[in-house]
Amino acid sequence: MKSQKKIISSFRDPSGFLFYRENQLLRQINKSYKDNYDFFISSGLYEKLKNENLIISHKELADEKGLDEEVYKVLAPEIIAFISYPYEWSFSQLKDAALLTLKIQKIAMDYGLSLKDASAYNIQFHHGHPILIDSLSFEKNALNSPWVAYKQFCQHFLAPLALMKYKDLRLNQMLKIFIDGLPLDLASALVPAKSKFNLAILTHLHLHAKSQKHYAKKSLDGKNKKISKQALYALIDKLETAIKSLKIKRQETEWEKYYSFTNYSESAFADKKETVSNYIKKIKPNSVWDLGANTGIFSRLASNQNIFTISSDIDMLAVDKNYQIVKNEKEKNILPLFFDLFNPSPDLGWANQERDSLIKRGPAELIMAMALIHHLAISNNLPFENVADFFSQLGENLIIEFVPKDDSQVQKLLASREDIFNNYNQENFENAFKKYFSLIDKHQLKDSCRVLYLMSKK
Amino acid sequence: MNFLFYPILFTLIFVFQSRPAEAYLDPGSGSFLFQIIVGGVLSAMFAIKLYFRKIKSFFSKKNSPEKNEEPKKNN
Repeated sequence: MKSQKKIISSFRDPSGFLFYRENQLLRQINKSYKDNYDFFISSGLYEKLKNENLIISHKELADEKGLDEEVYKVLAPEIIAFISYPYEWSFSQLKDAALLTLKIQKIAMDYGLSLKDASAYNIQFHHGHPILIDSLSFEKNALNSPWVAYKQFCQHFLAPLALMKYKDLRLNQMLKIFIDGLPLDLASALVPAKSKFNLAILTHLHLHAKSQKHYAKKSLDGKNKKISKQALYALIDKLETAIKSLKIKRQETEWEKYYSFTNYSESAFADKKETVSNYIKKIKPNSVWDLGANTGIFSRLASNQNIFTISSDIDMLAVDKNYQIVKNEKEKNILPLFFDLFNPSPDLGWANQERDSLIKRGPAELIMAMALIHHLAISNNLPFENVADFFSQLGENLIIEFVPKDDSQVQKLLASREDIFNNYNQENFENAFKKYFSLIDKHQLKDSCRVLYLMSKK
Repeated sequence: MNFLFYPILFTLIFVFQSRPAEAYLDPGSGSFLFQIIVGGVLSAMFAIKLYFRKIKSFFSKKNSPEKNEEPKKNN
């Protein structure tokens, strides 16, 4: 029953919490946060951030009584189409989220406020760009003491970005293990020594980690706890320089040239695009998840029809390139994300309820799985039925491409291993999927051995 | 400002080692005090930068007054 339900992931902050009433997402502000919230509004900071699309907008609901007697006000925030997590973002997405956090902190300081947290989970992607979703993140009277969110910022953003830049892009996956960001001593030990030549990384990661260790068992009593506003501003400014200095080399992705050396002729490719586009028009979904989207060519057939589309891939560079396209073209309906379908994002955090699994954040109205089935069935030994079962949990409808065994891409997968896949054929594929889906349409692609299917969940 | 790299480093090391050891503290304290040190150094660097800029502009004014007298453009 969802008529009145508190969302457990907002337990950390005593200023308020999120809850559902009759399927509407609401945010209760507690009396303890009254002064800060009133100043957030009266100072003009909220208006400024909202006008610049840096914070999610909200409406104050005068008649809503909240969930308990602690209530000061209740807000109805604008709804985000899909909640994604930092371990699903590419390097540039995490970097932009970090820069947004610092930009907001700088603006807030000009208005006499400061961010009291700098969690990457407070940032979401909305209409193609990152946005702060927590309206209770600001506090006043905090500008002559150190930034309380400094440690969290370094753990959630600086450390994973440094690891991704200096070691491997896939290391953002460590955020799945450490729910409150990477411990700095661990990140400091893992990044190569050459990172110490970056003055900002040396300071905010390596020396910061040393400082944490040094002061771990010492008291703050009697120590100077003041910092000038200028020093605080300089610190935020240098952090911004640090984040901006982290850049990844533009490499070719694993799949970048996929379309140029697959066995698609120009007419097969055009036929595939047209068929997929027609299938999307037939279903008219509100949401599409394109799985194995590469840099999003087919995802854009949906997003260009004003349909919110997740364009996911397991190749981190492809996701990053896709995100760059979104930025350059100012696209609003497409969200590139890193999804590992062999091991989808699980339920994480306290009581396994803070971060939702991929399945829980569904279902999408349409799943697209183009040129994917052979990777699941052959690279990961998955029986067709398991794939059909999983896809039926992810979405209401399905566009799927069957890639037969004699396709050069399948042959490539089989080249280095014994062919134990006697059941890998079109008939078995259709029979397995028929258990979970009803067939709407089937289309043999021109000049190709591949077949497209449109199905609806039973 | 890279010439300030070693002075900063030595200052930090000196400051860390000169702190007296006391009792318990929460894990955020290292991050808290670190900012006071780094913020202080950055603030000093900023002040030095401004100071040098003032000297530089003083001399550039003297040597090339015409540079500062360019007409303001409206667009």
